[in-house]
Amino acid sequence: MRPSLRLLNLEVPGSRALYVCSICRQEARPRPIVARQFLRHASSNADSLSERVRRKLWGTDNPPGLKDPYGESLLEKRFGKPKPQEPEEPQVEETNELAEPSDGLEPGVSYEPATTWHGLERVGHLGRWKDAPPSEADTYGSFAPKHKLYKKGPLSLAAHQAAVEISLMQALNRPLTHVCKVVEHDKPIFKLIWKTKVLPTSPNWGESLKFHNENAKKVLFYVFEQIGGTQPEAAEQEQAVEDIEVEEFENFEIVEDPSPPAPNPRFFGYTEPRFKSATSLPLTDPAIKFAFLKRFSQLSGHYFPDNIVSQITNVKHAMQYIQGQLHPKPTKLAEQLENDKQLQTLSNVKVFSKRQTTLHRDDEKGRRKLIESELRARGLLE
Amino acid sequence: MPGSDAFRALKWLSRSSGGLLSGAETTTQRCLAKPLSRSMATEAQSPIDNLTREVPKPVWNPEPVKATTYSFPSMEPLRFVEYPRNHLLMPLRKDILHRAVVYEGDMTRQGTASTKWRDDVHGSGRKLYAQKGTGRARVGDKKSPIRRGGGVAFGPHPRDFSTGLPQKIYDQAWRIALSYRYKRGQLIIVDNEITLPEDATPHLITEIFKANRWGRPFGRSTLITDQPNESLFETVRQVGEHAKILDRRDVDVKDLLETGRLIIEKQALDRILSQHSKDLKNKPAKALY
Amino acid sequence: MPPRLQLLPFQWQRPSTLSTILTSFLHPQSRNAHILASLSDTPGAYNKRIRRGRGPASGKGKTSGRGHKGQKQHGKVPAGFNGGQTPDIVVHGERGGVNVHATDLAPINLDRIQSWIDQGRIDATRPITVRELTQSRCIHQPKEGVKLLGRGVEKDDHEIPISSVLKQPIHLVVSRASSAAIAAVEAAGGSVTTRFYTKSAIARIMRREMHPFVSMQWNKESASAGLLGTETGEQGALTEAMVMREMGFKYRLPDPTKRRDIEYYRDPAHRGYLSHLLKPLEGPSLFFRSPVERKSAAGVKKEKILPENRLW
Repeated sequence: MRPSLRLLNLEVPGSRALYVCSICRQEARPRPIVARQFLRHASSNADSLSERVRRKLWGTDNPPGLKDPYGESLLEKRFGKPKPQEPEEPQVEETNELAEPSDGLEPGVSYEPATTWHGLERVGHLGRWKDAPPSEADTYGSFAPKHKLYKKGPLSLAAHQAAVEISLMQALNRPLTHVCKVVEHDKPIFKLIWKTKVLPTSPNWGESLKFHNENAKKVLFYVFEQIGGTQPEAAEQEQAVEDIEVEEFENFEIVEDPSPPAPNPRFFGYTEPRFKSATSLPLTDPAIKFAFLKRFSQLSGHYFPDNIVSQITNVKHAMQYIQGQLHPKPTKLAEQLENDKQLQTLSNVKVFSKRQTTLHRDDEKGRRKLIESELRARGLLE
Repeated sequence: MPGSDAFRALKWLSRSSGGLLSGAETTTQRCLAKPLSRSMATEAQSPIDNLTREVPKPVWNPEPVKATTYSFPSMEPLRFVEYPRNHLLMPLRKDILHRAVVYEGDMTRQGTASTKWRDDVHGSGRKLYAQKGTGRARVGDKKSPIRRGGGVAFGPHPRDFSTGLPQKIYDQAWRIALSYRYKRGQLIIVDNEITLPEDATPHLITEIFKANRWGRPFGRSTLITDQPNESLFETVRQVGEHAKILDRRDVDVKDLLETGRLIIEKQALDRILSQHSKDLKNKPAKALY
Repeated sequence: MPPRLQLLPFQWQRPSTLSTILTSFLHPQSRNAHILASLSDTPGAYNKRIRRGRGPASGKGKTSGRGHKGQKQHGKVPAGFNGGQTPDIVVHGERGGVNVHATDLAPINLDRIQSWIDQGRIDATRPITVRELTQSRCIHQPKEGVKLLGRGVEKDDHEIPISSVLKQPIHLVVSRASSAAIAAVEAAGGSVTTRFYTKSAIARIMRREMHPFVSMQWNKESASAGLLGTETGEQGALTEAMVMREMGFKYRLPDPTKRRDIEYYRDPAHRGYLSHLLKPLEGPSLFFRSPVERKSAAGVKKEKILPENRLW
């Protein structure tokens, strides 16, 4: 028996001893409140609120008179089951705005409200920009590549490539920064660049190149002569050059597969430069410095802030800066001391990353096991 | 010509290493002498030389500051631009920055806090009850500050909090703040205007900030444009956790010091610098005809 | 496992956190102590607040700098209160005061002008007016006008000028000029013209909304040929109408309306720009006739023709 009903029983005239106040009695009584009842049955959309009130008043399922004598009441508006089409209207509009415009209701098709969210385009309110997909204008073409170079090998490869390219442009007496117009060379050209040596003999970079052979020199000069011309033409010419190369250097075993534009591995799988002499090239001429740093950041993905640029005086400095970026000084003193080689060689100095306690010492000496076993024996440790 | 190039490079090196002595003579001497010996020392070794040749006058001829400019969304380096050393290489003066920041803060205070003194409170000045004979403490009117509902005795009244700062010091503060940014590599100069495509959404801003490491994990960034651009500002404000955007007229010294870095249009930077270099004008005033 | 409800399609979901974690690992946050937190003025720029009544070591401990006993220790004494005796201001009345009618003029001396010319900050071949003097910072602030004074004039024992610092003729237009200055400028072959200015007129002259000296009452004879010659060349006649038409000024330079001002600028001794209005023998005063005029007028009247047989 529910407690409320039990309370009701107290009202029996015989049991006067237990008095229950009228408010409590009222509270306990099952309530015939219309709105509440209606809310409980809100899921059944069979008939409206006023209809149900009318039925109750008349006491029959088919009360006489008009079906909805007073029109839609305020109560109805507040609590009533909304008409089936109303809630979907804004939804349709929203979808029209944002997603496919085709999923609006066609006039002939009858609407069936969804009971689960399976198959729905989306659920819930989408008012924030984060909920909307990016538009077409949101594509970002960055100068630096998305994936930066982190390892030393590829970094020095990039430095070597940039140095050779800038030297070639210098030798050809063409604008140095035009090399940045070609983000990636074709494999044969890259291989030629790889085989070219840069000797830091003179501050004029144009004179510092030492080619693999005469043919390589001719080809590279021809290719770099084209760079920076009108773009489509240059592309064509490069294609032509490529053909020439294919004829000339058959021993390069070029894998020509024009059909899949599969992303080449960075530097076509090369991991180390053949010559490391490029690192000592001086960066004293501002024009060369600018061109080199620009090309280097295009290849490596690391920018050089202005305060660093003024400090850089040769190629090696630029590389050191990036590596310093990658391996910054640890912020914790303990880590810094741990990395100190001089400290580690000393026999009487030990560096720990954490504070050493007696527990650590016990552990080291092997006392801990004994202590634990003793404690266990005495039942002080489980 | 390799010889002349080498000469040029050496000259450049000697200048860049902060050499006080410049001019052709000293550089040649430096080149010929042992690389590490100072020119004055060599002079001292040869007294005859010292007599015949005139002593070069030391000239302080510092190099201008070089800064890289970028094109905005792609961040492609475009060129080196030069600025005078007293614009972007001012020594850090925390006291001047402090005075400027406090001055701006004082100026920004609204100073509209207001309370009612007993005269301003609505009500009559009638004596509440007789002076004597009631057995209670003597009272005046209802509006006395010791009574509930009365006036406030020493409450705030509207006033101007602004303080003064000499213009020349304030100008210096601007250049010191920009120099501080420059010296830490946190001044990114944009050669063109900071704009976005027509129908760009905040997604693009987040993308740009992610690719360039300007966002919240890297200390946020302030974008400074020369002219206000409402659509751009609105877009950037949506990603306020990463970025802050201001136009030149809205920028204060404090804004320059706040976030991780400044991304500033070159035109805005030039205008800020030219507007805040009154203390550098050392030419006497002349009559204009 | 029951089918999971996917809240958002994959392409709309936030990027996976793995990559962000990776990048932040590779590039640790470089956040230093912020500079705004470490700003402070130099310690010497502040004075420590004096803490009164905080012990003998503070120096302001016992009596807190207020001495012993009395009203002055405990509260405040009205200003001018003489201890109950009749205050000074009642006994002796107020003294001193400010002449509200005085014109506040910026003084400028000849040696300063010469120094400015030597520095090339003022062109001596062109008229030197309040505008040139202010722009070149020869005077700090043009208050209600400029008064030319004669420092830089060397005098002998009898106060007679021998020489001056001026090395070239200059043509000046000022509000007032001392006689020594006028003499020195004219001895150097230049000219001084005094003319009427008001404070607002000077402000407009500085904004180039007004001509620095040509007004309605200015005409060819107002100043020497030297001044006008330098300004207009051979044409000579500078009139207010022409100036307004050709130079595009917005406002007219005012002329004096007060009797005292008019009289000052009518005086040839002051080299006033209205001195050409004087008739022969007329004095600058608008009220009194000049002694010469009076004498001559009286002489005419008193002349009697005596009959031949009269001696007087």
